[in-house]
Amino acid sequence: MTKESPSPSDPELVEAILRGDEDSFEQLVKRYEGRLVNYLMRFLRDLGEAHDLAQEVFLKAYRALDRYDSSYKFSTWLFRVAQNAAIDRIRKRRLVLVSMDRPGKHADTDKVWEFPSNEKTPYGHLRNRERGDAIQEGIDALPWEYRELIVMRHFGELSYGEIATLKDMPLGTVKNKLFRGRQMLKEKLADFLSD
Amino acid sequence: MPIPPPKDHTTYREWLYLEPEGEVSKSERAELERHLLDCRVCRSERRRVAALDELLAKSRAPVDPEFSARVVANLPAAGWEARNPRTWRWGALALAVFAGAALLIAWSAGSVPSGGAFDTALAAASAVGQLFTSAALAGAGLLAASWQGLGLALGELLGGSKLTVAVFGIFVVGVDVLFVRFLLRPARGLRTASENERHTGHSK
Repeated sequence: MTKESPSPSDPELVEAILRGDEDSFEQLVKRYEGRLVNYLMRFLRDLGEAHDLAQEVFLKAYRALDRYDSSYKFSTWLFRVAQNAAIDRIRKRRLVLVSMDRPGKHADTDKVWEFPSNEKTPYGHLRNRERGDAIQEGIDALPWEYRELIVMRHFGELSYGEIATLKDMPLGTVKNKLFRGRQMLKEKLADFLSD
Repeated sequence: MPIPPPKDHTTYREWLYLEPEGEVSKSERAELERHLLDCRVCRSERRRVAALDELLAKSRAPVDPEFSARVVANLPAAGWEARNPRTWRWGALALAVFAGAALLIAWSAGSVPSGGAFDTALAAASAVGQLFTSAALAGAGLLAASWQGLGLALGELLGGSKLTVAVFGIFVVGVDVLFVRFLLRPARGLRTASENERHTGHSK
């Protein structure tokens, strides 16, 4: 039986890219594309735009790679680039982020959120759409401080430690905020959570 | 070993949310499991938390399968000139100024009756080239003269005593150390928000 070689770590890939190996960059993109696109989509509320911005973020990261300090985790660095890019894009679009007191009142209120699923029946389709909308509305209705962390954790798939570094918050605060945020979200999505 | 007193429900509730994230310790997990044996409300809460996590995980959108290939296809040309555009801008600007000067001279000399336009442009470019060569030579001469002058002055200053030579030696070594430290300074990397605040002098 042949022993499978372990996949290279992020710093190893970065080193290879800096030596001019584009395949390593593609590997890095594949490693983070799902997390980054989903993270950006929850802020931009548009999957196509999230793909476009994720591409910009990867290109920005590529250009700045020689300035990346490997004493920090690559994921944290990449998501910081993504966070700044998302804020810039939102500013440019003059998209008003959902505020605490007016949940759901934003430019994309009528946006349809499809829940990815294999259900093909009309009822299943409708149910998926309802679930997709409910999740987005539930997230949008959260106060910004919780919403941001929920998106980082559940869509950016960042660990508690990575979020603490990215937000420059004590780990205990991150734990507490995520606990509260998830509790609020659970209440909002109660209809979709079978006991 | 004494048994610790039971926690209130708020603590167990918090652990229920942290447990699937791997954020509770082994002992906390064991204590939670013991509590769950007797608490129907917490068992139900645990199922709802798991359902929430599953719902959120399933709602992740699929990524375009061509995405990574598209990103790689859009990469800038490899090499330092692509990564640090500011560093080659000055060189490009100097070249453009040089070309512009050559063209200007060629254009102003265009009214000269003898010789073709190509010869005139060539002569103009050669003249600009000679101008740059002369300037470089003059600069080098000045530099050499100034170094020579500096050497004479230092000789005058230090020649008198061994102590001044030693002080000057220490000064030179100190400057060298500072220069090496400057070269070996850490690369600019990720800055945390608090570091940014310190850097800019702003606070929240």
